[in-house]
Formats: sequence, structure tokens, C-alpha cells
Amino acid sequence: MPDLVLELYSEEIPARMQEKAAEHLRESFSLGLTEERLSFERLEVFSTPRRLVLIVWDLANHSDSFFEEKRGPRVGAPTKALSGFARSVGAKESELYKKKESKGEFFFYRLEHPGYLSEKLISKITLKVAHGFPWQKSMRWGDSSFRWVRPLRSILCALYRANQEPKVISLEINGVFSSNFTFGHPSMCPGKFSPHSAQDYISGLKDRKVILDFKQRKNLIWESASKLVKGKNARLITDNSLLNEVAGLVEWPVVLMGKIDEEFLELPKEILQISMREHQKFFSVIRIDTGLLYKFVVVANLESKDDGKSIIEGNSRVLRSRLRDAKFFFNKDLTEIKRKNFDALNHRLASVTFHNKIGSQADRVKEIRKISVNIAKLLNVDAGLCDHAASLCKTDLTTYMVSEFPELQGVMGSIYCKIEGQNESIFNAISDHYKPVTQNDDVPKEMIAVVVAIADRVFTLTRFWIIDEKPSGSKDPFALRRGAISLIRILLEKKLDIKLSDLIKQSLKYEIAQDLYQFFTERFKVYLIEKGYSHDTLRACLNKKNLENPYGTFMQIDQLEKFRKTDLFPRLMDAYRRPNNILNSEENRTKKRYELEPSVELFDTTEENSLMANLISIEKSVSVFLLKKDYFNALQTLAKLNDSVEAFFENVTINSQVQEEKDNRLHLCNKVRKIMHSVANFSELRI
Amino acid sequence: MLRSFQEIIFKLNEFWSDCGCVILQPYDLEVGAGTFHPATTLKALGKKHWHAAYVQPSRRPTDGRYGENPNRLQHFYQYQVILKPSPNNIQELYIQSLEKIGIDRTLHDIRFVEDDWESPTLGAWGLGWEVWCDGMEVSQFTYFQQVGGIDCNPVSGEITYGLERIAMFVLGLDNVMDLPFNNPDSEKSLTYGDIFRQAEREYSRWNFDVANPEVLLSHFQDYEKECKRILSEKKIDGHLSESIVMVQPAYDYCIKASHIFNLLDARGVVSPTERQNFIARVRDLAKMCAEAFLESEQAQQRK
Repeated sequence: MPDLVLELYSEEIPARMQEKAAEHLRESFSLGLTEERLSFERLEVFSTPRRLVLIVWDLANHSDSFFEEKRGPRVGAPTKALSGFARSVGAKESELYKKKESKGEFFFYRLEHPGYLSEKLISKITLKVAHGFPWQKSMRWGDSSFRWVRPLRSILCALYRANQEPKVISLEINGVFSSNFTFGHPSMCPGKFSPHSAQDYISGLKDRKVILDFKQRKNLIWESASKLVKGKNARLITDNSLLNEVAGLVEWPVVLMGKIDEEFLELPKEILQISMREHQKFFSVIRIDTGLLYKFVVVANLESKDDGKSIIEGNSRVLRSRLRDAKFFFNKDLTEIKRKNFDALNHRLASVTFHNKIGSQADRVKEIRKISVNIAKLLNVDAGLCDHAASLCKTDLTTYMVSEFPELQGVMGSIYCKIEGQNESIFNAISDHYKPVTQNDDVPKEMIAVVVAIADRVFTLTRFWIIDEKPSGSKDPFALRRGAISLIRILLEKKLDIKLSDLIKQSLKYEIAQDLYQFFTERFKVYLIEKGYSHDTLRACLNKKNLENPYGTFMQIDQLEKFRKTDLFPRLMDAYRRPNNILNSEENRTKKRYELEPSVELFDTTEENSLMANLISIEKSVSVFLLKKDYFNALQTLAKLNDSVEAFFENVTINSQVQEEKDNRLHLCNKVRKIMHSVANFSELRI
Repeated sequence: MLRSFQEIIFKLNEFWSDCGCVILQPYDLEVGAGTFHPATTLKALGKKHWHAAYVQPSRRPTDGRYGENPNRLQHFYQYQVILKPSPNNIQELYIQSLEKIGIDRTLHDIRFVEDDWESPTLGAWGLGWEVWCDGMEVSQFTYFQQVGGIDCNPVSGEITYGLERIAMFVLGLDNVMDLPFNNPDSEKSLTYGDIFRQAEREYSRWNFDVANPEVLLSHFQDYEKECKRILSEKKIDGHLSESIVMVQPAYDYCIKASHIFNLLDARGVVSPTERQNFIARVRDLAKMCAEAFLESEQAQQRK
């Protein structure tokens, strides 16, 4: 059976979009193949800056045939109707058959759909996928109205069979016609290349300086970079997100190393590292003995004639001019700080607007300080230090360095405070209170930083809620969703057992506060689902209410999720279900609730008595576990109810002739349910 | 082997002329970038095909460094190419133009790094890249999607070369002031610094400290008013009794307002909120001009 290669060749696709695009290609194409009943052995996708590639190995020649049952006229309908139906499905009247349905008896025909040639279907699927491709940002070019991420220049779409000529699947997108050729590396092997098999497509491209596989490029970059520093008293700073980006900027990675000029080595390491990373996508190399950052690693997309000499030279020159700027502004800041003090720069914050409806950066700092002090008291952290850190946390926004290099916010404040001889927890808080910036970023380590980080987010979220500038759809210009997730992550990862309502103490109107809590609840769910927690565990623990205590609820969710994997879980669910089912149906029938404490005098079986005794002791121990947030032990304890609940249902008939006795038994069932619900709403859980 | 700044301009002119472009001269008003030239902003609108290239002196008052920074100037040159509709081989043409000025693609690492261009004052945006050559940003490459808030159809491809940067790269120099402007072996050789250092000092001082904010502000208001007035005039010309929509004169006042705003900004008298406000006011002018341009272009086609 043939292999299919589809290559969508375009001008450079932004690095950050490539992987997602390849994944979408995989998903939408396998969906298309399944819908069209085309079977295949294996499907692979690849991406490079210029290509999105799909290879389907061992694709069927035809789609599977299938039958469709077509319903015709009712039995007894005029004969004309019957012959008309037969004609419409291309059958003789004698081939129709009768069948009864709920609406009556009808004529039917089994219509056979034959398999279609895969060529036809592939072209159909490809067009559908290409026209509905969900690029984050797309564009038009030339005369066209078709949208793609960057201009689409060539399409290879062909089936390859052993010992046969490739079969081009003819299709056209925006004036580009499919073919069985592609191009090699744009600078090194720009010529056309017509592979004779799918395997040859991959290896032929490799011969033409294109590595299709993103992971291979990534590994190659890291290995080559490691080799360059090996045995040289040097160490590479790992940086996975940079590695991902760089691997998306090259088809043929060539890793080169260059030196940083002596005169810049005295600059703080963070300045060097961040400017190299953000602006030039360089990796940093540290000298092990001195700890100085002294070299850079650059990933080029070219094996040049002079072995990279010009490339290193060019890159060094760019770096030099950037660092010269950095050094100039750094010294300018230093002079100013030496003359006054770092905190003296604070007065300039009053003239920097944070948001025109919220106020200046000075207003912002004032509020962050207040909130920090509150939170510090709540968490038992030194309020004086938190206040001090908060008072300096945005000061660096007025420095020359941060105006020139905005990505150094926080870092510069920290460096200047360090130079000034401030307390370590203060300068760490200034740089770390922005964390976590990205998904992979860590939360702040020290508590002072944690407090300021929380205060900063609380300030931002509450203020934007007050002025009603909330995220909607894809619009979130102030990154409030990310802010909420960061706040949640800090609470969870630092194990901070506090309520959102204690953090958000300001005078928020009731509706605004509820709306904000609901936003947190949504973000919390999204975050945990992405981490792999199941929907029903979340529902059982949140129980349709808004999130109150993120860490507490997280503990509950996490431990319930773990408990669900133990053998005790089915026992607990058994103990829950029978009383719950009976209660539900009785409550429905009588419209009554059975929430009284069961009365012992009305018991007339040992099972009732022993269940009650069991409930009383379990109620006590469960409440102790809940106080300690030990949900796992609480759950284990609940599972112990199983035997007495089972014995109760085996030996006691709830439907007693005496109404009082019956009600009392329902009260007992309710007690079981109530204790259970104090831990989670188990009715939400599937087994 | 190229040896001077001006030779690079000659070569680019030659190259794009061979590609069929009209080689225009700079626009005679102060602008912040080559895009402001009506040959780009206005011509990117409407249906008519258009291929042009030109050098545009550009002014960014906030970038003044008294001629002391090796890379930054408040007055510099951009080389601007606009191809409408963008041809299929536009990227290849661009790389050939680099080869024409001595950047060999088998020796230098040329990369297209995502960078979507936006000009809030022109209400314009597009998708494309900044082009890196051995890590140095040498050009901006953009497919215009909108100008003056209006969809571009057909789409123009815009290439903007930072001439000083490219020249420094090609000639292997670290300081813009050291660039030989003409033939360095001639008796009359001059460097970029010989020609512009003093001007940089003078403008830096004026931009940052001496320009009169009150005067500038009143200019801004006058220009804004004049732009709107021109466009609100009735279409029929008194002498010819024919429709003449005065887009270009109006657009001149939009450009002037934009430059005045840049000066106010450099003078440090614009607060961030006011800044947004100024930008929105210039954008409104640009939008009005864009709409008027379409009207006049359609009018011409009907003729």
C-alpha cells in the first residue's frame, strides 16, 4: 500500500507556531481519514521554519465500503411513491424490504457505498484542512483572499508506491498547484528535489541540509553546544524555552561559539544573559572557575564557506554594540543612585501612568504596599520587610536601563539594591515578585517575594475588575488570566492555606467580588485539568460553588484523585450510593428532607444501632482529619462505613409500616450522606 | 567590493530599477520612516499595481544621541521598496538585492524572524519578519494587511532596509560616523560623521531641550485642523468644474502633525495617557486621508 507525503511549503513560519500547527495537522488529518473510512498504518507530522509536513504510512488504496439503510415510503403508500423511491436509490422495487418502526411500517433499501479512491479523498481532506487551519494570526498576500500564516509557495502532495512512479494528488490552493517536488535548504541546496518514496523524502531532505524533525534539531543543538564547551572550564546555562525557539528558526542547525569582549565582563551576569537571550537568542556560557559569563553560543542556519567565521564576527559585533549601550545606561543609573539613593528615584513613579483609569505607578506601589502588609500579617511574615520590598518593587521602571531594556524590569531593581547594600530578601523580592512569568517559570522562593508577588496580582486583578476591563474571548491585553494563574500557582506551590476573600479584603462590591471569585474558579479548573486532574474529581470537590481556599481545595482534589486509584474507593462509593439513591427517590416522592438526627429509641435492629455507633465515631475522626486537611485519611475512614451500611441494607427494611420508624431510617441514611458530603460530593464521581 | 555608503544606495537603485520599479526621490517633508512617503502609504491602497523604490531620510527625535552613540541617530536613511501586488518570488528578490550589495548567502546567516509591523499613527499593520544577517537586524519585511484602517487588496510587500546598519555590516565598521560616505580613496573623501555629526549634536540639543512646546502644540493643532479642512472642502474645483479630492495636500498635514507629535514626545512633555490621545488623533487623520484616496482613485478609474 502507498505512503502519502503532504508538504505545505511556505515562507518562514514563526517559531512559536510551528509545533502547534503540526499537531493540528495531525489531528485534523487523522479525523479526516477516519471520517472518510481510509485506513492507514501510521501518521507522522513534522515542522521546520518553511515546512509543515504530514506522512501517512501504508495508506489504503480505497476507503472502506459501507451500507446505508435508506427509508422509503410508508407501506400502503401510492405505488408511484414506491417506484419513485426505488428509482432514486437506483434499485428495483423487488429489492426493497419492509420494516416496522415506532411510527409505522416502511419500505427500506440497503444502499451500498463503494470505497472511493484514496486520491480523491486525500485532496478533499487536504483542502478542508488547509482552508480551515486555525492559525493564531494569518495573512493575505499578492492578489489572494486565501489566508495562511505566511505566503504558501509550494505544495508537495503525492502517493508513493514501491517500484512505481510517484502519483501526484492534484489539488490547488490559492493558485499553487500540487506537485511531487520540494526544495532543499534555501541557502545551501536551493534546487528542486523530487523524492521517489516517503523515506526518500526524509533522507533526501537530510542530504539537502534539512532536518525535518523538530526534536532531532533540538537534540543536535544541545549536543553540539555541549561539545563546544566540553573540557574548557566552561558550563552552558540550560534554557529550554530558548532551545525550543531556536530549533524553530533553523532547518540545519550549526552551533557556533563566540567571546564577549573583556570590557563587558564586569556587567552583572543577569544583564548579559538577558540581553543576549532576548535580543539575539544566544545561549550563555559561564567560566567555571571565575563564575563569569564570558562566551555565547549562537545557532546559525548555515554551514558557511568560512566555517562560521563571518557569522561569529557579525554576531559579536551586534552584541558589542548592544552591550555598549547597556554599559552606558548602567553607568548612568549608577551615577544617579550614588548621588541620591535608589529609593529616591521613587518620586518619578508619580509621572508614569499605570492605567489611565487606575492611576500612576506611584498609586500602584502605594496600594501594593498596603496589600503586602495585610498579607504579611496573614501569613506571619515580617510586615516591615514586606512593606520595604513593596515600596521598591517598581522603582526600576524609572531607570535608564529598564527604559532601554524593558525585559530587565525587576532584575535591574534587584541589582541596584544589591549594590546599595540592601538586605538580600529585599533585592530578591524585587526581582522575584514578577515570577512566575511563564508556565515553566518557578514561583518565588522566599516569603517576602511571595507576599509582594501576591499583592501585585491582587492589586491588578481587583483594580481591573473595578473598572470593568475584564478579559473576554481571545482578548486579554493586561494578561489578567495569566495573573490569576500565577497567583493560584503561588498559593498551591507555597502551600498557603488562606482564603481568597482574606486576600481580597478591599471594599469590592458584592457582585464584583463574586464575579472575580468565579473567574478564579474557572482559571483554577483550567489549570488543574491541564495538569491532568479529572473533571469529575474537580466537580465533586468544588461542588458548584466558587473557589474559597485554593490550597485547601487543591489538597482535597489531589487526595481524592489519589484515593480513587485505591481499592477502597469502590467500597466508599458502595457505602455512599445505596443510602443516597434511596434518599433521592424518597425526597423526590415526598418532597420532604430527612435532616433530623436519628433517634436511637426508634431503632429496633442491631444493624441500625451498630451503623449509628459507627457513624458517631467516624464523624468525629473525619472532622479531625478535615481540620488537618488530611483528606486521604478522611476518605479511608469513610470507606470503613461500608460494612455497617451493607449490613443495614441487607437486614433492615426501610419501608416500615410504622411511618416514624421509616422516617427515622431515612434520617439515618441522611446522616451517612451528610458525613460523606463533608468530604466531597460523591454523586459527581464515576467509578 | 563596495566601499562607501552611497555606492550601496546606487546598487540598490540599480537592482530594483532592473526589477521594473520606479526609482523615486525622497519625500520633501519630515517623516519618521519610509512608510510615511505617500508612495507607500497611499499607493498601498486601492487596486492599482505599483512598484517603487526610494531612499527616505527619516527622523526620530527621541533617538538623538548628540552624535556620540555608534548606532543611534535622530536622522537616518531608510531604503524603501514597495511591490504591489507582492510577487511570488519577493523573498528571493530581496536576497538577491543583498547579494548585489555584497552579502553572500553562502557566507552569511540570513534569517527571517517573526516580527509583525504596526504603525499606530498610520492605522496600519502587516505580518512579516525582521531580517537578520549574522544576528544583525538589517531589514523589515512586511506584507501590508491594512493601511489607514482599510484592508489592502491586493497586498503590497514592503521591504525597508536600514541603510546605515547595512552599510556598517557590509563595510565592517562599528561606528556609523566612520562610514565612508563616498569613495574613501578619493581626495575628497568624507565620512558619515563629517557630514552629519554636527547636525546630530544640534538637533539633539534642540529636540530634547530647546524646542518650544507651546509653539509645537499650536502647530499640531493647526495641522490637524488644516488636514480636516482640506478634506471637508467640496469636491468640485471652482476653475475646472471637475471633481478634485485633495488627498495629497491633506496627507501632507497628517505627516506634519505626526512629526510634531514626535518632537513633543522627545521634548518630554507628553504624558502616557496624552500620548495615546495624540496617536489616536494622527491616526484619525490618516484614516480620513486613506478613505479620500480610495474615493479619488475610484473617481479616476471611472473616467
